[in-house]
Amino acid sequence: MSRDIEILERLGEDVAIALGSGPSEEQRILQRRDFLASVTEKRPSRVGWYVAAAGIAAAVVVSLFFYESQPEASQLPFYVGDAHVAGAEGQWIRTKQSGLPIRFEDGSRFSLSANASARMVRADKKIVRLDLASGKVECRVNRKTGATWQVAAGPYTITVTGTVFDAIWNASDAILNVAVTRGSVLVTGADLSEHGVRLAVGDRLHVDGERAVISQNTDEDDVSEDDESTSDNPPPTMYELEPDNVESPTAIQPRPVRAKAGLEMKTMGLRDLWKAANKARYSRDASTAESMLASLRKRFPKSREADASVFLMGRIRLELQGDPLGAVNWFKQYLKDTPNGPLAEEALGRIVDAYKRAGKPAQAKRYAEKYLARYSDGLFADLAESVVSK
Amino acid sequence: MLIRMAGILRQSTTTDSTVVRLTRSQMSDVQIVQGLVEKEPRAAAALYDRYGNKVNRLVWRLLGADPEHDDVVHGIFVNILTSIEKLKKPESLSDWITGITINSVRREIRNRKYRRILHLVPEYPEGSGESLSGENQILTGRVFSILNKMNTDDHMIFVLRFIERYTLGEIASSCGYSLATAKRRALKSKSEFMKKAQRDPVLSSLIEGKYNVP
Repeated sequence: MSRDIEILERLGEDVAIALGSGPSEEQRILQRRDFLASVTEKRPSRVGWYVAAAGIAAAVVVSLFFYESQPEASQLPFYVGDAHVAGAEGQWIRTKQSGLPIRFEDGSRFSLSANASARMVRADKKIVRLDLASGKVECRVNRKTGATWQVAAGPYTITVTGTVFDAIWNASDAILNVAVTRGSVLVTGADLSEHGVRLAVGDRLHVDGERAVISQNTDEDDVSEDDESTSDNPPPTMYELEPDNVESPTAIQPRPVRAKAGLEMKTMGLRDLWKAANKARYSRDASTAESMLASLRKRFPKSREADASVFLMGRIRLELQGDPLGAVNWFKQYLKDTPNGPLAEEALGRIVDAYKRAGKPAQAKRYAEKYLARYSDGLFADLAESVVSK
Repeated sequence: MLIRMAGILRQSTTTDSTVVRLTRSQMSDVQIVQGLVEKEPRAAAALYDRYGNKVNRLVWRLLGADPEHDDVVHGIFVNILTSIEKLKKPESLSDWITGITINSVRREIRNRKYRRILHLVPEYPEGSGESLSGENQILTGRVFSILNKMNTDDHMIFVLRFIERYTLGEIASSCGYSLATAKRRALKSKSEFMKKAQRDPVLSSLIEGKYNVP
């Protein structure tokens, strides 16, 4: 392999890790919503997608013109805060140390708790829709308005027809909690049933992307993110979402290392922890790098850095600790977790290299054949061919 | 097949916890294509759910966490919908989408170059990739400031080869090249990038100090 290619491979790896695999989960949810909104508007069946797409752009311009030039008779005015400031659709409302009410003239109210973020996407006589970006909102809806009231939280939509309920959306972990105090709500979206989940008085819903737990709320406390009914209440009904990959990962036991500045690692944010781990790795401080990457995986398991950490653990074992068989386990774990990840080719190639260094020619050959079957022109093709030909 | 959770809930009379497996909606690629041709909204949802991550990742990497990322992705999905009837082999939907994504980004990069030439947009800003943290932003900003000065095809191939880790075969099929052309262009993009990177104070010191370590 030429030296330039090796240099660019390393640079490319860092750029891939720095970039990650795309925008945030929240951004993707909004993307999805906007895309589906643009294709689900009712139109004559003869109108093709292309015309519809062009029409949507024109419609946005036209509707903005009318919005600006004429008072909208069907809009429902709302007011933010105790000072009764008139609210506007699309405007972000963020609370810090104390909450904020959003009031409507008919007595309906959304009460944002402290440290919450939301915006009123739409407020008219047909639909009132609050987009809860994060935090908790208590909703009291007057059924006399006849409008459809909705709270959107991530991929979920809670539709109410006159009720009192709480909703908490934890955006970073994608966990939704809903508790109904009066009336009923319908929760739809993500992997819930296409007909949604209907919650009645006293029902609580906890959804975390893998399970949906519905239980009875028997106390008057506010719903909490860690809520799991256990004592005298009927056992919750749990629904598990079938994962795309049904295999459970093999547990890997990293070599125990003494964590340096352990308390610091527990309090560092994701980016700082990632940066510190790489700094340790570049300085060839394997034990610190390993413990930091382990902490990152534990504390931020759904981050893209967590995926990359698995691969980097393999490199640390192979290049810094001279433990090729330990490295193999990590590279295999990476391939199991992210079979099509940005480092998949390199992980497979390095398995070949690691087995070769460990003096395991049969395993090296088996993985070399797999590598060549998938990446005949790849980075490790020469190595794989040399292993296969022996 | 999704299970009706509401129905199951109301029928449950046992006091034991009930664990019910819900399966995600599983339309095959052929069904998705058919649904899109017939303008079914659930086919559009299935399309995004299956290929949203792939398209997002490719655009994110090819443009470098660009501020107009969402617009580009939206345009690609609309393009997919409007062109779906041209897809002769529905089972090749994945590769076809890759091709559309790459061609769309290629067009976007070219259009930006023309707009810059006509002074309609400023130079690619330093430290782009606004959503990235400090060091990551610097690294990607430097790399993409070089890529944006390169020929469009060299830019694309560099990202596909060294950041996305496409094999030459994958580059060839995604970009519509022969394998020989893909090899030749990959070598050219590598040389171009190295030449420009050596003149960049940040990248040249990174290359010497970090990436050139044996």
